[in-house]
Amino acid sequence: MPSKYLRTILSLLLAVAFLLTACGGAATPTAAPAQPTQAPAQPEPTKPPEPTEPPAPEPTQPPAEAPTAAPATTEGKTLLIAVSGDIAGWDPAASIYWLANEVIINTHDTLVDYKPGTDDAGNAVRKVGDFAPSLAESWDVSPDGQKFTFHLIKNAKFHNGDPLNAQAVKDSFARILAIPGLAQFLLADVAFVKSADQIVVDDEYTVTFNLPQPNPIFLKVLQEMNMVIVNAAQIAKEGGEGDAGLQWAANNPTGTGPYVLDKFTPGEELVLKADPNYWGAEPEFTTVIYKIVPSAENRLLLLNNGDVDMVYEIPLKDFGSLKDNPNISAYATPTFGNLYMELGRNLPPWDNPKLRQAIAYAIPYETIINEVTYGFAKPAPSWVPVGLEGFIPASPYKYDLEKAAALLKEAGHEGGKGLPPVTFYLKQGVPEEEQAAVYIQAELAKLGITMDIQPLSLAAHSEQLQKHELPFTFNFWIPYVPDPVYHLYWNFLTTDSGCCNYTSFSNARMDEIIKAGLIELDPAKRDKLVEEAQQILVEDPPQIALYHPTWNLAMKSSIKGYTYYPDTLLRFAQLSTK
Amino acid sequence: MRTFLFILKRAILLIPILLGISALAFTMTHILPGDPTYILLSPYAKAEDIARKRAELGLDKPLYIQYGIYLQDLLQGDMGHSYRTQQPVLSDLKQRFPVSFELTTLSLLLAILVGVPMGVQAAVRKDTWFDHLTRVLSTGGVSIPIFWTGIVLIFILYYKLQIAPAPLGRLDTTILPPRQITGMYSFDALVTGNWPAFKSALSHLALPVVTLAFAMIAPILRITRNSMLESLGSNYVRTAISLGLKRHTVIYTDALRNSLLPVVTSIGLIYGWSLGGEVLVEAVFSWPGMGYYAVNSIINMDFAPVQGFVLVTATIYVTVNLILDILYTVIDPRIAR
Repeated sequence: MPSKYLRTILSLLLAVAFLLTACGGAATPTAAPAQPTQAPAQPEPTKPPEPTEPPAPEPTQPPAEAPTAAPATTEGKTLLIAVSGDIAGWDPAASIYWLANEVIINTHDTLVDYKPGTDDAGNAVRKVGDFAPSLAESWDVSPDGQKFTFHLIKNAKFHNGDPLNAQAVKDSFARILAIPGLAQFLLADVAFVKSADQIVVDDEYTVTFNLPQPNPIFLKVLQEMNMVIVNAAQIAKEGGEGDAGLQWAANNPTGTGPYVLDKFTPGEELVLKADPNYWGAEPEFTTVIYKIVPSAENRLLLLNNGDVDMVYEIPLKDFGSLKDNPNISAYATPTFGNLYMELGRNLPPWDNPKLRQAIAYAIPYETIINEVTYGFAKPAPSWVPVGLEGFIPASPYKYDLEKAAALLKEAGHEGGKGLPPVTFYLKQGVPEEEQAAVYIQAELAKLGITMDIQPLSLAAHSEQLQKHELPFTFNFWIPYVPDPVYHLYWNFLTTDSGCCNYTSFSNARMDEIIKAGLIELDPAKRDKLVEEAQQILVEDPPQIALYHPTWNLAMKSSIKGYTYYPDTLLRFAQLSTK
Repeated sequence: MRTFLFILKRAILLIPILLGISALAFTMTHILPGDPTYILLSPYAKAEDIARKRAELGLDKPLYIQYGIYLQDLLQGDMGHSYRTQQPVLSDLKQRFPVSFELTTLSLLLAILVGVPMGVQAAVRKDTWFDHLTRVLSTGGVSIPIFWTGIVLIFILYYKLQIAPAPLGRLDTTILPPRQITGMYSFDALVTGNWPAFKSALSHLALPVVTLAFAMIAPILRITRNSMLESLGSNYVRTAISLGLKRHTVIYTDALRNSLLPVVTSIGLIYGWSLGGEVLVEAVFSWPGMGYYAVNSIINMDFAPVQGFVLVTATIYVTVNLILDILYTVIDPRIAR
């Protein structure tokens, strides 16, 4: 009888299926915090499966047996973080990826740090414009603001054991000057250190920077993660010159920071371990594991189930629901980031300021904050981010279709008459920007303006943006150095270069203000300049900020000590369970 | 001898095929709008830095010269460098291929194990409740998006019932990977006798394998059923049964063997397709395989990995087809003649 076989087959299949899921059950101890340090004794402590091809990128680690020397560290805790994607390239002179930057800031130190404080809501934040010691325990600034002398701490060592001294600091900055990129720009053009000769080694632990001009934001630049101190001598020795050295440095962090890179499996995980010789306090989380979990739904489930300690990049629509779970702390801190809509100032007919003003009145700011970001954003009522020195709520633009229609009429395009259809170019894969564009499209339609929405690949968007070819688009901008003049410099200084004045804004008075602000030491005078700059932009808006997004992070509520930094990067050594 | 010549002929044919595919992959990645230099450098990069980087990457040269350089490197075993992972593409693929291979192979085995017998039974018991059941199952397999199956399985078995492990990759975080032999954790752990790792690897494989297999079962089942129906209706089967031969011997030896050719063909196609195409399963289960790697590379205009991926997938596909051709000659020796 066929049914007999059928029964056998089906029962076999069931058995297989059961076996598979049963394995699943057995292997999932729902025990709380993972404690991989006491992993079952393996027959082979597998260090070798390092997937990297070239033998060179051996992390700066003693052989696997060595750690037994410091048995104390095995009692530390593990922090397990689910992230969405790859993390690679840990050379602070070249890094551009946010996650890579976080690895850099945890494996290196800057000379000066941000000072602890609290924001209006009482959350722990690091304050802008206030400085705390780090590798430099103190510093002197000459009255003319051109000479900065740093006194280094004496007990800091690089991960390979080399001492941190004045020469190492000088070499680290000299290295930045030799590698084109963001770091070089910050050091040379914003901090005014254009040559290594400007850095003088006074003695073993004292180093002086001589600047050709007064610089009010020199310390702000040094706080920035690209300005961390690397072991340049080690990079030169082990990595070699030129591209080989760059390649080596991209794979081998060489700092003085609380953590060392222990293991990186591209596409899978990255493991940081506390450096037992760290000069500061030993972190409670001695192991930090980033696990790559591409699916946002899964990251959320993992956190809700307590299988990971912390989750990055939670969709905004789900972030609000996290507060219902008492085991989870969800932090949303306002940032200096801006979602700018570029208004095509350089491309007719949008060179007419009246038309751009009309658009600025047609954007449903509040609706976008509530519906698109689910409230995880703050209004941005100016062209300088809220909270930076000199900010004033200068922008008169709020959602007002009547005013917009009137301005259209003034510009000679009543009801959109005579205006060609305009295209809004989006970069692919950013849901908030896609939705916001749709809201804007609907409002412009009410004014009689036809707007198409066209997604572009990341690279295509980036290229056309830098060539100033996009009439309407979004540009998400966060000032690396949290400073108003720095911010104005990038967005509104007359320039023929790609970034980031994407609509070729040009105004003689604005240029004067920016150039004066870069060297103005008096905070009150500087604030006045910044205020004037914001007024100029009211009449001739090249772009308009839709909102300042909040920085969202969710973790188990048992984890304490989270502090928001203006660069949004997490410092794991500050976290604890106490 | 004849079979050997046949294989040799097919193997030689591989070369022009792969050459053509490499050219195609190269052209297609390079004609996409968007210059990778702009995302490689920070947005702050100056025009001269961009020009320098373009020259460094060879992007300023005509396409055919770029392709020539690429081929030259390729012949030396250099597939280029991924700027996103900061690793040579070859080592990236070496690491990811076994991961995809393990997942796909196990899924296919499961799909064959379920699909072929079910297809046979569906044909034998045509128009009964069982046949209808298989129709529902295969329609579901084809029409339910694969990532949705995955999400539902995770939600129920991991989140609600907590019997499946966390979708956090291929092993529990507390388990060290087994000593690397092939890169397939289940296999390596089995060979080295590392039972904790073996158990953990299998349990992490269970959901993705079931998810992928669910999608694979549908075509296998339907083709088996149709092919079987044809055989069962043929004269030799009717004759054999009327001669009083055991019904199940007739079905499983005579009819099934004659029905296998289209089934094997479809299995080959499915295999080749899913080795690179299970991106969605990889994304849902945080499975660090080739597909997700390729998709991320495409999004980021990271050319070299995309070309490497296409080449590897094509090679596998062509090889699988070669193996199938050989299998045909085993199933039906007339083909090699």
